[in-house]
Amino acid sequence: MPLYFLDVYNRTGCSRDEEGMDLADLDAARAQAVEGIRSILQDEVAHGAIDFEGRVEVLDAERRLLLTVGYREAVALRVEKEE
Amino acid sequence: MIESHLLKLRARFPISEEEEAAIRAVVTEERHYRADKTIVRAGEVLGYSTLLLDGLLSRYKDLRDGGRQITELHVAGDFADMHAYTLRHLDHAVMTLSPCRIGIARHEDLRALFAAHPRLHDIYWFFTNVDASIDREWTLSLGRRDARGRVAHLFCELGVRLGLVGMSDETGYDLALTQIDIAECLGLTSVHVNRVLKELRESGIVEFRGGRVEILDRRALEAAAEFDPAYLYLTGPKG
Repeated sequence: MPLYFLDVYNRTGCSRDEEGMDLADLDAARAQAVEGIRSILQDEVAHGAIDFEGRVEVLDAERRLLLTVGYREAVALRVEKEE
Repeated sequence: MIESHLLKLRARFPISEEEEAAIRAVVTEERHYRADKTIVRAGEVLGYSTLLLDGLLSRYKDLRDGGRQITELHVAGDFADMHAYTLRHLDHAVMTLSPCRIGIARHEDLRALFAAHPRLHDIYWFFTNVDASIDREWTLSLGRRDARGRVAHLFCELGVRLGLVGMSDETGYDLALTQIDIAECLGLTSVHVNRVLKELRESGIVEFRGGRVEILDRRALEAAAEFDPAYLYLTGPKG
């Protein structure tokens, strides 16, 4: 299985993925990115504030950028209209 | 070959030379495994328990969608499944996370050991109870600690448990875990663990890189974890 790196960017900078993950394909890597973002947001919700300013960059084994997933893309957001 | 195990026992109980010889005699076989190998499957009928001589083992359970929860980690000197002695099969699997050396203790030999040395029976019961206590502490982490607290707590716990067998010191310890393993212990994801590790590193608390935990500020790490080692019963039973 190919190796992918998932670097996380938010307001405080970049967390570089030094380890990488062996995943079936780019779809699996995208799913990992989405799950990762949801996990981060879940922790933020528990603390009472969500910051959508962030993204995960999916890189290949040579660290070439393949795909970017924004935090905002990882969840569906429904906000009631104000009356 | 069971030196770590004896260190772990003797940290809590005096063990006589006769008892030591009897314990050595029940570990009748040594097996070597590569990393990421499931060595006990859930449901399999077991005639022996596995003593970890060297390496890291996990107890884990899987969901059908592939989600995995590691429910406990074992370090050198731990019996990974002494509870199989009474349960005869396990509701969970046991997997190597690094290359491992395992000692095999057959249940019939354990039965004879406990009959001849009732005190050792009580001591092994004590350690099975400590495993249950560790499970409770992990439940507390999963249910109530945030991601930062969970990671900090795991690093505190492993530092103490490895220290008992001479494998950690004030500065840190080697830990052959991946971010994925840590995520599977803590109900997080690899991406999230990476993020938390960066925060802990930049706060000058702890650094985890290249299979080594460097403790930069022990007091801050223990505070982040609300770590109280009482649940590890480090000095044995009271009274």
